[in-house]
Amino acid sequence: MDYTRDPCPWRILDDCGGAFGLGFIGGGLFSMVGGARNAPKGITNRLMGGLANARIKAPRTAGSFGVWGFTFSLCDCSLVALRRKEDPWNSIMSGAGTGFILAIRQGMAPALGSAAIGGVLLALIEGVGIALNRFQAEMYKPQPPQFEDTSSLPTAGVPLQSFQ
Amino acid sequence: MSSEPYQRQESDGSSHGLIQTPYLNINPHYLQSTEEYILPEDASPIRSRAQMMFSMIGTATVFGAALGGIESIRYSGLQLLKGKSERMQTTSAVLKNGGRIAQKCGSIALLYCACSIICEKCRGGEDDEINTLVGGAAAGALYSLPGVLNVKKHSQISEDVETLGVIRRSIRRLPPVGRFFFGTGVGLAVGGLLCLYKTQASDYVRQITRKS
Repeated sequence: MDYTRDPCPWRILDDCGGAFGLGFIGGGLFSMVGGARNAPKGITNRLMGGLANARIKAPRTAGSFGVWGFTFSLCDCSLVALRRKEDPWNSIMSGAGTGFILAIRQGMAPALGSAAIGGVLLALIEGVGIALNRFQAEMYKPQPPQFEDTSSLPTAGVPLQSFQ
Repeated sequence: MSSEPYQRQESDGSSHGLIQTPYLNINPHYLQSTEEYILPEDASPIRSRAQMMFSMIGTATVFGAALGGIESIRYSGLQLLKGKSERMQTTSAVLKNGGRIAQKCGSIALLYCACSIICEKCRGGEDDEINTLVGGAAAGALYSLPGVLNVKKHSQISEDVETLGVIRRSIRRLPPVGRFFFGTGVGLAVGGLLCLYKTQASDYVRQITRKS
């Protein structure tokens, strides 16, 4: 349980900011590499080209990431308020809803395809999380003490061969 | 000493506004000097700047999106359209303009958070108003730096200068160093407003901006 997260309406802003920061840093690094590759020869040119490309492209990537996080958290909090419980189905459904909402301006068929992709992606993430959780719980389960197998040991006293 | 709670209860009834339970042999009044909450490990009673970073960036982004969306409703020509075309044009304008302003606000907020955290770490772990001021000024300076450096290459005065507002037109007519100082000054002013909110805000302002 994560106690540092905000309660639900404020969690939307938190998730939006987290996704924005992730997109800013990741997109900045990625577009810096791209800009340096496309720049003319020379170390100064490559450096300046990388910086200029990062400055132009990093806020755009960050904006797309941020709007994804915002919509996802919006769907999640709405589902929590509607269903009055928090479970993995919430995040799967809000992943599908996010894909639908973000692609609805391109038409119904792309929106449904995007919703399916979002739902499957979130289902994979949640499934991996649950599997990891269960695996860790198995590791820490108290195991019953295992005694040595006594049947193969020679019994004390009369040897077995004497009865045959 | 052990019979004092009972005596106190007899003498002045249920005083102190505390719940007096018969199951306790001591007065709960004596327990007030200790800490009230049990904190999990490495947690402080006030959330640090790094913990507040994401919600600050998100607030700035959403605020910028709302600002740009409201601004784009007064695009010229929208009032001449009717029906579906009006709906489509308005939606496109709101999404595009809102995204544009949201990117700017979010980037500035991210720069501010990064600069103030770096300032806090450099000054040795104490969090006060100087961090906010330095972070704001550094974020404004960093954000206005490309406009200062690139102004010799791309400084053609654009043709649509007549359609800009008074503030934007006067900013574009500034010399490059003036733009730099303008950015720094705006950052410093916004940081000062944040400081004022953190230290001097009245109870009413705190009440309406509280996270419930």
